[in-house]
Amino acid sequence: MANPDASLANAPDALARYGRLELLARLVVEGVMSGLHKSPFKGFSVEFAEHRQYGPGDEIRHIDWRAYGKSDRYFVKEYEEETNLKAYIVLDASGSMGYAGTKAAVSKLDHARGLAAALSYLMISQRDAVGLVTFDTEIRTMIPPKSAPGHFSLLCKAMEETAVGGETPLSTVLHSLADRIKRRGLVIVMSDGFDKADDLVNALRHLRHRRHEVLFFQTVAPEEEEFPFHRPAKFRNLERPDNTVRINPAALRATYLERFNEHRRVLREGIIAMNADYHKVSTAETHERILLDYLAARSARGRSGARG
Amino acid sequence: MTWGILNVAMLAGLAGISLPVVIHLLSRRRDPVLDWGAMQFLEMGPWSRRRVNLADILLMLARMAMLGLVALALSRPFWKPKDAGAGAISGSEAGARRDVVLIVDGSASMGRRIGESTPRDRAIAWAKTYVNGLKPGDSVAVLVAKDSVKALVDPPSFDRVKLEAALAKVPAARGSSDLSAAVGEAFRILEKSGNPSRDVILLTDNQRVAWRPGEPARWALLRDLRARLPIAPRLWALDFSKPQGPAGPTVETAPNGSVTSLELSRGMVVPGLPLNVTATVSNAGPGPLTRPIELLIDGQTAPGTGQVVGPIPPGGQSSVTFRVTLDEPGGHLLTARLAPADDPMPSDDEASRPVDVAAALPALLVDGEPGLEPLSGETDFLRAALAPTGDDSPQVKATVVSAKGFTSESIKGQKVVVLANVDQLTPEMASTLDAFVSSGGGLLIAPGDRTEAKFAGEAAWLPATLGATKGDPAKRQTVAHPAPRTFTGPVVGPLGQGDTPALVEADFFSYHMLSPRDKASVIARLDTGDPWIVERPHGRGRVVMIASALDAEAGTLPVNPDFVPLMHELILHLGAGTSASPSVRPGEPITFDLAGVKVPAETTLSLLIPDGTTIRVPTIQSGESTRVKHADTSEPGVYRLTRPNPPGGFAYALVSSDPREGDPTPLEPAEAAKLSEGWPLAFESDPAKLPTLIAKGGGSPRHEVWRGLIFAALGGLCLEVWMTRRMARTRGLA
Repeated sequence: MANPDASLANAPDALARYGRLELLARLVVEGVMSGLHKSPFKGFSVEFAEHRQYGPGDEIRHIDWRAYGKSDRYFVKEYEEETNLKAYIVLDASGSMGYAGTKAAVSKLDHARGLAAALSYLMISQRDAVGLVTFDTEIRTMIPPKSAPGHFSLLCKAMEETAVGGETPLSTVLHSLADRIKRRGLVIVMSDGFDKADDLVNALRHLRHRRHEVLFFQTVAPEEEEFPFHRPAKFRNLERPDNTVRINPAALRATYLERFNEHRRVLREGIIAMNADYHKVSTAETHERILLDYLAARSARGRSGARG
Repeated sequence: MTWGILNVAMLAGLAGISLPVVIHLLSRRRDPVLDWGAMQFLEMGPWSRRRVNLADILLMLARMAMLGLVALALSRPFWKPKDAGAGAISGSEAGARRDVVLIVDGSASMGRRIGESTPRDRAIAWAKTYVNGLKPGDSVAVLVAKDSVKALVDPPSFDRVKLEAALAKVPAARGSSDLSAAVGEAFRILEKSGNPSRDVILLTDNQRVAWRPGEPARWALLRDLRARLPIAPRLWALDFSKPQGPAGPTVETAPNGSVTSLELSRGMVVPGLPLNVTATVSNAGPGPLTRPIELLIDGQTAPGTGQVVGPIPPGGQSSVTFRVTLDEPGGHLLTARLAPADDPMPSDDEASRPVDVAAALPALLVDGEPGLEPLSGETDFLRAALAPTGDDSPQVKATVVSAKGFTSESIKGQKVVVLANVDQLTPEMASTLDAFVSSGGGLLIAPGDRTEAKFAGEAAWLPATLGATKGDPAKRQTVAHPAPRTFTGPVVGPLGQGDTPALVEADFFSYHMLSPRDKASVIARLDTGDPWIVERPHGRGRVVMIASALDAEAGTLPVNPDFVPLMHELILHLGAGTSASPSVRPGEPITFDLAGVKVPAETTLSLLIPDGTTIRVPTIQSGESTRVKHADTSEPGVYRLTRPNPPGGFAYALVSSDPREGDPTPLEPAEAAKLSEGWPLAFESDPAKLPTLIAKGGGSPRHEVWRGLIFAALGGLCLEVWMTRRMARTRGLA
């Protein structure tokens, strides 16, 4: 579609600069969706609930031809769970998410926020209910999932108001969330995952045990992946500013990369093993690109019959 | 085993060891602060951290060791076996490489011929053999000790061909020498040389004068200088005064005569006026000396001046006086020369002295009481005596002015001013005369009956204060005569000689009482005992005051037969000034003032220097005259400048050497022992023994370890590179 703000949408840093999370999410999603035929998100029940007017994104095979014959209008059949897909976006606002680095224009939190807004818009536009959970040292905001169009603005506002906080044991937060969310739904976690990998996998497994579908977006900055430092420097802990360590990166680089990659491998394999989705997000990439890649991958999986 | 350091200053480089630590500390202070999220991957266990730190510390230690080894190598440490003796570093080591300074005595006595050779020839032959016998890596500097030190090879050279060429160029033995100054220069050279062993070898004829044993302070200073050198050299004094080997005589047979001085009777020489030249001839022995002597004018024998001097006993001296008349104005050179004979040291057989013959001496006669009739004025007799009417080329160009016409303008261009019976001077004129005398002019004051007691106030140049007048000119009664036996000095002294000097006949009817002032001297008195003529130097000039007037009223002096010679001598004496130094010492600059000569800018004139070479010297224009200044006067003797005007004329300057050079007395063993006290100065009469002595004095060889240190530093560099690469590889940087 013709989009006067396409350049804005392509630049993740515009989010931080203008705060127009909502607009940005629309632009991103509409740009992405124009290239996709249908939403990869759908409920996982077959129990018919009601008819609903056909809209873009609905599969043609779900059109109730019988109802069309009667009313000369397109209706699709809605199933019990499809109408009630409830997604929870869990946005990590701990201190480490405040890291921006020099290679990306925005911090990890800002980047994750943009992605969360885009996903929210995508799902709400499909009439799925989206809720939001933000936390730093504890759960800060919990907005229950709704699918009303005005709900999107509420989510965006809440996300915009989220600021980085202190240190978070992510696993603890996820455990408490698993206990609090009663109805099964889709839990989308946006975090850098900087916690003990085993604890985090256990917490995610707890969510899976509660029959939630789990989607883990691990947001990392390019510097964290490459550790491109050479000169000795004082590294100050973003989650605990009083914790500063003098390090010679040249001496520690190999150890760091080994540990970092091992952590990611354990996390990724643990998530995949529990039949959940893991997706690595680099803050240097655009939201459109990430969304497109992810949706394409998920669609491919959907077509091949693997359901989450 | 003994250790030592050759180049202590380089040890300062050890401070460089701290460089890696300083760089580490500085960079630590400037460490940037990075905010970081993924801290969990940076936290290390204590063992890992210790291992990383240990590797870093080892790398830093390797770098520090490398810098330390290089600094240590540059300081050139050495060791030698225990029997070499501990303590100060000795300057002479057998087997070690050496820096040697050869000092060749260049004084005239080195040219004293005994048999077929001179000490100079023998010293140079020995030096050539010695240089050829040195090892590769040994370096040699060559100095010639004269009145000032001349460096032939400086800095020390390893090039044998260059050294041989330099030794062949040792100048002829002339003038005197100062060995202590040459030793000081040798120390300066050795201060910067690099070999671990150092020697100063003096090649002399052991003449006492050159060693200056009477100046212990100079030698104490040299001992102090030597002690401050990084490696103190040993000193060897070799005596070449006697030929080595059985052949030839070993002592002189003929007496050594020398002309030690040449004195002129008058500082001011004018054309046509006879001049007495007195030569002093000394005999240094052995045996009595009888030799013909002659006077040369501008290098040409003056006819009829040949005389025979002697017999002079050994150690004695005698004077010979020549009477000459120089007719041509300009620069002339007078030389007294002993006739050639079997003299062992011919270089001191002559003495020279430059003289400037002035065309005519300009004199201003100030008449305080001009007369209307002939010979009635104050200065009439004086003018007639100095510049007789009809003489086309008088020796004095006299100008007469009245006291009223006496202004600072009239003084310009004059050499002598005569104040005859002048009543009083204005303060301006008194100060003008002060400046005139200070700059070399002469002033003759003859007070008369008009002269007031305070005619010149308290002028600083006055030789005497005027007292009361004795006698009355009107009565024409004699109150005093000159007393010739009291005449002293070169001016009036000769006029007082003889049985009946003419001046004793002069009658004075009146005269002034003179009270000589400070620095003034009475050169003639009256028979009453009162001063008659008082002289006082002032600045570069002189003032003479005579107690009586110069006219016929005050007495009969003007008609005395000796009035004319007295006035001539006084005026010429005053015209010569006091600054006419006949010669300069070697090293002092000589100046030629060519009055009335104007040359275009940047003109150069040719100057013949005593060693026979001719150089071009620049001219300096100053007003109406041209000045030539020449600073390099290390060679004693006559310097001859070719004048641009008149063509073919010359100007002469004399650089005189120490007259004691003619004294061949050798250094006494006791004096030599005193000079050797407190430092390793060894006197050796047999130069052939020197290499053996040096080897004996040196002790066991010294071993330098800088090569090993440099290799160790290179090893350290390799270790550092290997450690750096290994760390980079293990830490994922390579």
